[in-house]
Amino acid sequence: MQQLLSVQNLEVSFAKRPVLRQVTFSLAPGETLGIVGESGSGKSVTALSIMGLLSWPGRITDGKVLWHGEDLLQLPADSHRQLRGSSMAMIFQEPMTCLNPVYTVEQQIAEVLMLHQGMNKRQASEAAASYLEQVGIAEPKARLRNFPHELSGGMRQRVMIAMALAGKPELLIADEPTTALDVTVQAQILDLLKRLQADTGMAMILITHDLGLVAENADRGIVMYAGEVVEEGTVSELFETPAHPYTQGLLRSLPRWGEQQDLLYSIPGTVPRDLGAIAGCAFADRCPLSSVACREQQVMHMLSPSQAARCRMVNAQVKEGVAR
Amino acid sequence: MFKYVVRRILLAIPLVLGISFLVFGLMYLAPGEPVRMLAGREASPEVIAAIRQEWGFDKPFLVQYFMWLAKVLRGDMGRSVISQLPVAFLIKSRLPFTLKLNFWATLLGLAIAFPLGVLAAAKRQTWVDYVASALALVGMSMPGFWLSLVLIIVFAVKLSWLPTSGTGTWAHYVLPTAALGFSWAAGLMRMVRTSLLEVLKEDYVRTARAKGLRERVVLVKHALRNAMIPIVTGLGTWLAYMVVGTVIVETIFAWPGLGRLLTTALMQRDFFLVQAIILMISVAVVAANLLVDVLYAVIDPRVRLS
Repeated sequence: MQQLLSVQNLEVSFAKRPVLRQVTFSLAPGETLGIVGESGSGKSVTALSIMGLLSWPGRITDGKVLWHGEDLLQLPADSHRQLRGSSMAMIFQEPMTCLNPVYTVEQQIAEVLMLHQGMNKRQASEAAASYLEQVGIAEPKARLRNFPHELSGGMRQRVMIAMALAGKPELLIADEPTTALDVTVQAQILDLLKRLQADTGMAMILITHDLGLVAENADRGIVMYAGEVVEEGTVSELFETPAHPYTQGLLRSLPRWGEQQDLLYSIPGTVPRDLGAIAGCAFADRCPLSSVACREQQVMHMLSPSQAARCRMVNAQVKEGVAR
Repeated sequence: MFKYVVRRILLAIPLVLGISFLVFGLMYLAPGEPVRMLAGREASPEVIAAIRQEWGFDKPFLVQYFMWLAKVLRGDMGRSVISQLPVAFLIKSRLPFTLKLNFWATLLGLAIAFPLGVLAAAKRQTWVDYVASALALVGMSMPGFWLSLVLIIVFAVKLSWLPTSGTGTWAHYVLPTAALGFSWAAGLMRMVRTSLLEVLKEDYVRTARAKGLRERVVLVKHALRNAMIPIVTGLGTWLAYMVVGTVIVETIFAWPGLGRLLTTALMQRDFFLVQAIILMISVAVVAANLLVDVLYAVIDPRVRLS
């Protein structure tokens, strides 16, 4: 199948300090990809790079972002801009601060409709109400006149989603869409996203630090650590046969249903600060399996047609398996 | 919105009354009895006593204050001790010149500060920003009187392009307007730049960009509107700045405005005239701040609630 989005060897630096290294993944139309990682692992930077929203001092230094086979990074800035909010939309972690406090809900949704669907003010106003209805907001006509500060966090995230839908996107990037919300509201928002995806057939990138969200909502997942993709696979592969020691560590640190645990497992050590100083595996310092060979540059090793991990031990395991 | 404005106006009334009391009290305490000016040096004690009684200076302080206040409220601000002309007439003849000068200086300041400030913020850390910020620093560092003198030396004395005094033609306005407007523009520009940079970091600006809006729309519609909140706060001091600047600039350029009327009146201890001008300026500053409060509500819907 023709890929909707294909990120190839994407490298990003913040003021000469590398923050993304060789990030590669792809996404088919309608598919949901989960990106998991700790804060600072490069999840959001990856998303912003795709959207062309990376702001100073961040800079893309290498790689390609292919959209329907066309490299967005070679596109004039204005052409990339026209895709934003229409073909590709994004919602963010902080619904409290993501809406402009001085404009009404109506003004903020209508703006997208007038820009990308060429509606006039009256049409946009009517359509805005229907989008609010679509994201499950009661009394949409009344809510249109509200300012963001008059709405709850969950409502604001719904408005953000309505704004994203208004451009009829093929891809929705949801960057920690529920992290700032109450648990009950989290579930509602995720159900909503799933339903909208089923209705519109859009693809979704779900960025989260919550493995559980990926397990429940995504088809495939990639695990990022210190600006690198360390493992990639279908959700069942990642959860049942995790290959990279970091993925394994993440799974071990989840609480398990029905298991008596006094202390949750945590991966020893912290995320390295300066990626520029690391030539080999960024996880080597915290890895129980590391050896001298891990200090050299690592590549992705295929474990199955859909699973791969950036760890030389995986390669050894696979070879062992073949030898046996 | 309407209730908010009404409440602001009601709150301003005691403030204005307090100011009037202070203004009157200060002049009362200031050295130099106005009776001496009225009567002349050689006047006999009887004449002085008669004048005291005539002008009400023999009454207790508070009685004098309320008498004065009652007259002011009726629009009677007394007569100049020196020229014997009504204070209201003197002010009315000078006010238009000051208003015109302040209007053009304000317009010049806004026309410089907003475009440059927005440009510097949009192109931060580039040569555009560096040049604009350097200009602002120079502008803010130059005292008004010094800038006035430099302008006179360069454009009037050396180049003979522009006149140094008088009000007849537009050419007469150029130098005083520039002297008054530039340093205000410099301060305002820095404020526009700083608050816009602050707002550009906000999440909703990123949202605006994620919608695919043109950068110009992001800057002006989404960012600048929010940046206006702190900028408008700064504009509250605009009138106070203009008053100080006006006094200096009008003196240097022999501009027949209120600023010069005030300095002359002060030097001649022209009691009622000084009181009236200072009271007027104070009320104007209160009104400017009232306007700022109303502008807040226009810009920021969150203010309308409280």
